[in-house]
Amino acid sequence: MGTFLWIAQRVSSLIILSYVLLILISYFIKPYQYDASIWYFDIHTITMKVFTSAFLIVMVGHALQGLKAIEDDYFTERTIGMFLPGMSYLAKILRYAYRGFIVLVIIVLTYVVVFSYLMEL
Amino acid sequence: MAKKLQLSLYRFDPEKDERPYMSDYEVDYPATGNMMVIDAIRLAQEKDSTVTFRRSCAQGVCGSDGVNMNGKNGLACITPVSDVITRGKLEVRPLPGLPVIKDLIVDMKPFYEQYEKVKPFLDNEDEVTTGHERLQSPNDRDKLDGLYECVLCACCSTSCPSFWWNPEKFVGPAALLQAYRFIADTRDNQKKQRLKKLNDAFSVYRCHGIMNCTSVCPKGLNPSKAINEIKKELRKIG
Repeated sequence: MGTFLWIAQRVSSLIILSYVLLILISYFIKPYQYDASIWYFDIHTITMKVFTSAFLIVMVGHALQGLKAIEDDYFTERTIGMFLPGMSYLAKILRYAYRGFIVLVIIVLTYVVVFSYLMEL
Repeated sequence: MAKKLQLSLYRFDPEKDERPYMSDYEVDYPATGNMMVIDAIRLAQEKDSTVTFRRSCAQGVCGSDGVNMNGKNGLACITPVSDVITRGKLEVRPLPGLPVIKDLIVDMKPFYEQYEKVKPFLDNEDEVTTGHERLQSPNDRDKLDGLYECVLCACCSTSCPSFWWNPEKFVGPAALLQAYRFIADTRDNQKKQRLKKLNDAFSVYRCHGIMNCTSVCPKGLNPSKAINEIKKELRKIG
């Protein structure tokens, strides 16, 4: 599992990089800054919708790994106790609040992408 | 004429003190020559006999006097004061990330538990076919150089943030160096099992390659390189 996650993290970062480069290069070679409708048209093609959806799924997976590492390192009794002596009992509450926040962000992101972008409602 | 060294020592006796504190001592520092940090601590101990620290060989072999000197881990017996002193001041603290027993002495149990996990011994149940020993080519033997010399002082593991945060799950640079020492040893035939045991999200992969371990190793070893070699081997077995 360790190796799988390690490789997944690196492969996903390459996908994220390729998407960001595509957007950046498009910005420089197309006149988006003069006519937003060109941008709107380009981003709403089926190919771009598939690529953007794949990018977002990969990015969420990539981010979740990093966020899990932050949780494992910093939202523990040991670390909270070190930064806030005597308050280590807060670790569990903070951990759940942190997870709740992440789930909320994913729900909002999914809602925006699915309804506003993919379905164009 | 001796110069004066402002030595500040971490003090904590869990039986008496509520919180740790720093004690300042002024010790003579030879202007003509140099002295090791351990000598400075001993001079402070002559002034205050309650100062507690651990040492044995005092020659960088036993690895028992690992401390944090002005923010950098190392062995007090082979670190010259001149290497770590800043503006005439030297602050000595116990190794970070391990429970303090008293003053500069830490409990090495979490460190040894990780060391035990990697089975730091040759594991080969096959019968020896030639003579009394398992033979190895000089080339294969050369691969172990830089891996077996570790004195288990814990300077590397305790300078690693991943080990500070997860000492039960992350094996740590010292134990991983030993793990690779046996993975790379052609006389050991448990390579696959050793690697499988390390293939989780924490044991090896918690190392993010910041190389603190390599920069503090008092024996000049490179645990970071060994960890990368383990990662390469893990990718080979998938």
